[in-house]
Amino acid sequence: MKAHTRAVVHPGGRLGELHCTPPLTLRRVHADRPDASALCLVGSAAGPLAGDELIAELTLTPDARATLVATGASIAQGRGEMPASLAWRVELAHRAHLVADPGPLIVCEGSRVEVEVTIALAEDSHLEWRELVVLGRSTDAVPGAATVGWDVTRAGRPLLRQSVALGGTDVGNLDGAGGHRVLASALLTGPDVAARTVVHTRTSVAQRLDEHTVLLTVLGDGAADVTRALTALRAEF
Amino acid sequence: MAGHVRDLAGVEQFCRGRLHTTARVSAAFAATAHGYWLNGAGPAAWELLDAEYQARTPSEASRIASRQLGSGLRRLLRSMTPDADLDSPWALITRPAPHHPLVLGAAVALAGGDAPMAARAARLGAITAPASAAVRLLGLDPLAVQGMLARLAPLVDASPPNSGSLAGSEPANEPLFGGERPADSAPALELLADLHRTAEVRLFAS
Repeated sequence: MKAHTRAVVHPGGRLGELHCTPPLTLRRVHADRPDASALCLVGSAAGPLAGDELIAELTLTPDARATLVATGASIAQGRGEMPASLAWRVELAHRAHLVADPGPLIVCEGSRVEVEVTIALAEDSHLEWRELVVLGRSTDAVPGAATVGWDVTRAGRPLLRQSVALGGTDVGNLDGAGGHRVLASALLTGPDVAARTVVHTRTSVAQRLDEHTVLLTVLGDGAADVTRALTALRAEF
Repeated sequence: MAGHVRDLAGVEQFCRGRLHTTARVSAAFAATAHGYWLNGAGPAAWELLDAEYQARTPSEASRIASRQLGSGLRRLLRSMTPDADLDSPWALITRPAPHHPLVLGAAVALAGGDAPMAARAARLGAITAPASAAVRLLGLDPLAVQGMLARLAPLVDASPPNSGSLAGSEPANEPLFGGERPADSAPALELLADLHRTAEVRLFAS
């Protein structure tokens, strides 16, 4: 399946464009602020499945404000020669503000998923973007495999380019997650962010990327515990 | 390695992990830097290449260590090649020096080596440092550690498509997805680098 979903948010909570293709369906929900647009990702079909090519584009024009949440987890299933791919392409214009948590991605036994998060920031835009990848359901004997890539630029300059291979590698327990089955990460950036490196534990660290950007990373074996640890890290900023 | 590696098998696994992740990145940048040096790339191009490497190194501790290693290698180059201009090309780069793979690529060029050699040097350096640390910190048999390094030689000598093919002066600023330059990372190791920086006693950094 090939799917292309696109949303454009303008200032004042105005939604300029919303075009959705299953399984990536965005619905507008109640926003906490009148000047913001709240979007919710609804899983309107199974997926991502092997061979799927899913693209979601989100654009915030100058001074726009938005949030993105999900109704639940996405579950990657299916064995196939081709991995599933899920690509987020996000563009934030000047002073745009986005807080996004597109929900957990559970990669079932036998499946492979490539997650790409491409974000183009303006110099003064604000972003908080969370990713949570869980390798395997609790009943899976062998977890699936995923790659998670961040390609983030600010004003056209590189800010974070990172590709992490999870599971399914030939480097044993020294794969990207060190043998852990859950990786949670969050990118927090904006003019009001006072970035610094914070080490909570050896698997829960906020890494300062530059003066106004931190990458929060938590590794673990339970999604709930990892999420709690990520929230605790987030509270540092 | 912070208690994760306790024996020779663990050291080998650690080194294999580095060869699959951070060493791929440093090898690609060393090869590119080799081409930049030979082609006389200007300060702006070097600065952008440095920024691209910086964006691939989320650990602050690793970034600091990389610049320190770059600074040390530049001092060595000054003594060995006094006529080389090691300031002008890197004038726009954050102090104290460019990231280590960039200086390494220039060093290989100055020594007459080619781009694949620069990539090999970067891959080799990515495993000899932890191997040396393992001998000193874990008390492992040095000969056994050298034997382990010899077993990894095929991986060091290999030329994956993304590590030796970027010689020249291609624009450094290209998207990650669909681009040629790798950004492989292992958070399990990167987080340890920042954890290590908080330790009261630190013996190695890389």
